[in-house]
Amino acid sequence: MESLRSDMYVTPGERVGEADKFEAGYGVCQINNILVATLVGTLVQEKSKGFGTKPTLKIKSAKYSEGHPLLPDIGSKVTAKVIRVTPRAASVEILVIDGKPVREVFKGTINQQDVRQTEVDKVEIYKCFALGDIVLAEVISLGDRHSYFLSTAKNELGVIHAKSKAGVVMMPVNWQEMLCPATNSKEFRKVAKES
Amino acid sequence: MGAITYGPLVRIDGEGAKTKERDVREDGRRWDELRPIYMRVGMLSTATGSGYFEGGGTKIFCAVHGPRPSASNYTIDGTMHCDVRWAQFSGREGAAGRQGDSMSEEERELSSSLQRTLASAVRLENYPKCRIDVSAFVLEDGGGGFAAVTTAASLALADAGVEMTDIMAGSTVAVIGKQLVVDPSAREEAIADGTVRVGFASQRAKVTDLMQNGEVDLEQFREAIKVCCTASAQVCGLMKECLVKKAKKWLKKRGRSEM
Amino acid sequence: MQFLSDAECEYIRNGAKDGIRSDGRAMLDIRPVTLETTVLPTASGSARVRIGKVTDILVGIKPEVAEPSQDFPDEGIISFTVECSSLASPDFVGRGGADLSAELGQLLTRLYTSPVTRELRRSLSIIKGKKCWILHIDALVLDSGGNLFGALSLAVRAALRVVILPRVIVIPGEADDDDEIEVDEEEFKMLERSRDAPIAVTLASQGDRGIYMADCTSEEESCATASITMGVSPLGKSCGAVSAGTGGIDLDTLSSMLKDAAQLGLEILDATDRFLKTDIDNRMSGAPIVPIGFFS
Repeated sequence: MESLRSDMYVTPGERVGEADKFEAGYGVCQINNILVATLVGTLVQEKSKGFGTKPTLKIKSAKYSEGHPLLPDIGSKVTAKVIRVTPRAASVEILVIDGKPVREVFKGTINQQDVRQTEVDKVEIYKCFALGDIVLAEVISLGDRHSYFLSTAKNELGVIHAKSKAGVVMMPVNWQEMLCPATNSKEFRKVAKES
Repeated sequence: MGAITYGPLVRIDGEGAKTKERDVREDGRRWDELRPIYMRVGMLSTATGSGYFEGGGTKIFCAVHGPRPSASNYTIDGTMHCDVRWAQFSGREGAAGRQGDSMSEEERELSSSLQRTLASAVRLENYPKCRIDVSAFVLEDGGGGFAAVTTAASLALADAGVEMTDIMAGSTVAVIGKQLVVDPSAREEAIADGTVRVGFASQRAKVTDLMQNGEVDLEQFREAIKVCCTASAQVCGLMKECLVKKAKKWLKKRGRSEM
Repeated sequence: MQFLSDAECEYIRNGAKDGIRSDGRAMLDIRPVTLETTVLPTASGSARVRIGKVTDILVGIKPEVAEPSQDFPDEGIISFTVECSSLASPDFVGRGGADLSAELGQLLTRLYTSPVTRELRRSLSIIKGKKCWILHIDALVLDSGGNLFGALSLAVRAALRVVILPRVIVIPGEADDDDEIEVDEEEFKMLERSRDAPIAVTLASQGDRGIYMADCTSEEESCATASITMGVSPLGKSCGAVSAGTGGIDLDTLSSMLKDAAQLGLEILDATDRFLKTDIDNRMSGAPIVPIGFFS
């Protein structure tokens, strides 16, 4: 069976091609040797990425952009808001996954040992995050039943938006300090490197 | 917003059977004829996806919420929770009705039956730690209510963008004497010797749910299942049309907003 | 529910493909069934069924005079309570057995509200619209090793076959409404129409087209992809069927499953009826009956 005509509308369960000719992409799943659509949308064929690989079939979902439903997965870059800080970990609410806002808020945890790359055992969570901070982080595991585990142990990860005690948006000074423009006081944060 | 309408009710014609005087039922249908069907998706704004199914006097709303983080245990595969309710005014006895009332035995049985049927197609392995909630509400049960719930729920899941490997539809056949009656009305259901209900996965051509009540001959039973499958396949065809229509509408809208 | 590893499932499924089961049975063979009636002296009718020395069900019937339902004034009432005791499985501790109990009870209710048992229900009527017998059938799952539906329906049927009800004398009153009844505690009668009672047969599909087995052990049940339970009346009619499992069954397989289920049902009905006939005859004639006992 050849691939169905591209830009054709498919519904879940419809056969779109054979597994030995195509790779299954987003919205396509392989059952035995058959590729089956799992979403409503149009069929898109992507050229093979290199020699010896097969072209990919994927579905352009009608209602949502690719990647929906947005679930945190290992390796996803997420934007999260700090809702609780304890000596061992910071609890956050994941608001954006890979640049797309979520429909439902997911809980995440940044553990002490995942805050930065060096001197992991000397991390003081209070000197890294404060309530209400917006943090850029990466999902490192599906975590426990309450939350996903996140990490900020990369230069470009960490706090990207924070307000000082005076309630003013602070500016980063270096990778672990931020400056309040109103009071000129400095506060500690694990600051993300601007990219 | 953005819901498609099927214009005037779509009439499905059965195949084969000649219309004879005695073949005509109370409502003028032939024995193998479905009631006019009307479907809609995406009419509820707060749900991730929604579906509406209407066949004759049977009217069903179904909403899908999620996938959302599950509050209970850590599960590698996602979980699905189904909740089927009959409205107090649905014209059916045994409905618990009001929100908060515990479900009646029957509703509970049907909920787990629906869960089974849907779980056979939904790719729950793609939704770790999440739950998908499917709630169906029968506004009016003019016969074949549960079969229609399966159909409405499939529509809602597809609309929600939940990954499924198949589209399911349900249908009912009543056995009245020697006659098989497709898609019986409530009155026909009441006088039937037995009823057969099938949940059917159209692409895999598999029966995912089977229920028989009353008394049916073995041969009739086997025949009834076949008839049910044929009827379900017809409904599936309409469901696909409905979903594609909706999809076109969405894409057009997105095309506009991206310009 | 037994938990099986993928390898164990594979083993059972591959065996099933070749028509071989781990205990040496053919696909549609059932395990040896032990059936004993009148095991509870405090119940009007009782039976205990064991399948393959694992699944173990005890059923007792308590009759009571009550008012018939308004929808069916000329019929008696048969009501079921199934209890999955925590003896049978650690899963049943607390409320764990409630779902299964409800499911089993619903199947029985479905079988016994079917038109095939209408005559049986009618024979429980005493005065139309006024008085009837209500049979409270309590079933206890003592041990579960697969095929609970089959064992349960068999035990219920056997208990119904041997249940004895006291004779009831209707004393006509002055007006039509004044009829009174008197229960004669000396004389008893058996339920004649109890032979109409159906049994349930479960066939489980193992995923492949045309591969299904009867009387599954709990291991086989836990790796079945879908199963069909069908009530079979002594006339070979289907009187209630439900499916379980999420695998789905294709049409041809389903069709032949139903046929085999009906045939198997008739065979089981025939065998148990032959046994029950001698059992009842022996009890009637006062011949000594050696009880099997609880731990045989």
